[in-house]
Amino acid sequence: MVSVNARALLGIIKEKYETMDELKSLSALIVLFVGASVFASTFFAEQNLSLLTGQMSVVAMASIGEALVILTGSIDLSIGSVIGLSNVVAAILISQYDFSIPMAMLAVVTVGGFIGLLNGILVTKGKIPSFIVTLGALTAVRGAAYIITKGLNIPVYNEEYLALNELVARLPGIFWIYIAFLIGLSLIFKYSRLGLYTRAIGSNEIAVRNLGIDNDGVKNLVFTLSGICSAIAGFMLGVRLGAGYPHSGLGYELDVIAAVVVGGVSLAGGSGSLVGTLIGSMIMASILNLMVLMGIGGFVQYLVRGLVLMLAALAMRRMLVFVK
Amino acid sequence: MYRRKISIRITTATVIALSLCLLIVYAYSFFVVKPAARVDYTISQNTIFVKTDTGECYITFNVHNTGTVDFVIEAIVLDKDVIPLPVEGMGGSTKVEVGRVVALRIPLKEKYEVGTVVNLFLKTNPPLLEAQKFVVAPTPVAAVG
Repeated sequence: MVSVNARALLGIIKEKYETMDELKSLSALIVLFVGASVFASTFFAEQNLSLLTGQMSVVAMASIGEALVILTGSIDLSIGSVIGLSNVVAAILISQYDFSIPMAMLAVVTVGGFIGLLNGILVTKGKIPSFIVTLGALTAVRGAAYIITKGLNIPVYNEEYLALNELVARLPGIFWIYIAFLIGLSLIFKYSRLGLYTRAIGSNEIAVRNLGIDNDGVKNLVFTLSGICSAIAGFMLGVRLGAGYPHSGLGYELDVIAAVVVGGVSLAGGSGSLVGTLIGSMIMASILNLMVLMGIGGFVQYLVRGLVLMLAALAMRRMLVFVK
Repeated sequence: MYRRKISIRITTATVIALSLCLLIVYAYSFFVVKPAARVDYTISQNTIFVKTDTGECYITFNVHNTGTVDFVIEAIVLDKDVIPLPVEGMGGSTKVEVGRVVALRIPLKEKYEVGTVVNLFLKTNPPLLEAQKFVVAPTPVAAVG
């Protein structure tokens, strides 16, 4: 009797575990936190946690948009460059044109949105693979950032802008901006048809098209949202740096994709959640933070991050097999 | 037909929303925002001359206003020596208009050794941004007969 109940319970756990992508990532995060408490006693110090959440906010913000694109079975490689362009556009508008903070944010959102929309239209109407389109955008947008700044850094002394990085409830202000966007977009994509269509397109695009759902429109919207999320991430990066750097966000696309995949979103599309990207971003940021605390050098960090990413993916797969 | 109609709707709605944002930003930049005052200048032909017969020192230099606003030179800083302007016997104007070049000749009370190099920095009103304060002009000290 006990055995039957145990089997039933195991069956329920297995079913829940298989359906909840966040849970798999959460397991990895808990393992990482346990490891962190052993190897670096200062990891859970208040100051370190506020630094960690500030660091992860930028990647996590961009991860929301990337997750949506990946859910549809496409990919957006232009994220790092959009972050860089938004960073310098915000810095120029605030420091040289005296824009208010909300208007500067609206301006970068518009810039990011148009870049994303252009990517989307080239993918849907131009029938070009998203990998190629966004790879082109990666270079072109970075070039635009260098052109408008002439390759120079733009310091920002606006107190309101820099105040967004101040601690609110012991965590940086930009982290709360990210959380607000995460909650809003998660609710939209969980309870609206848009979320359903996004996943459905990633699972079986032809079947969805035959149902009369607007594939191209949804994809265009998703690419636009990716551009907007990257633009806000660039704005947040500027708040952290206190300046606009044309080379900022270089290589972020890989960090973002890693965070999305570790967060449980399938690269093949169709499965995953936006909340998972929060966990994925936290895992990636924690790995980096932990290595700094352990005194591991910058060059080794690249190697270790890649290896840990592969191990984490493997471990998650092993755990799934174990539960099965 | 139905699919096509909806397809236009989502993409068009996205374009309209972004265009509205663009319109708001443009209107804001056009009607509300004025470019912030930016002080910037270049210093050229800067030399400290020491008269060999009298030991009298004076500095000459040109200032080119490359910023977006007129400024007044309130003082010159030669390494640690701050010389408020104007001083007696000075030649040239301390007010530099946008795009103009002003030549200055300022007598110095301190003595400078021929062959050395002194860093020249200007204190202006409005001042330079904090990040630009590394802009100093290394000024050679030369003897004149």
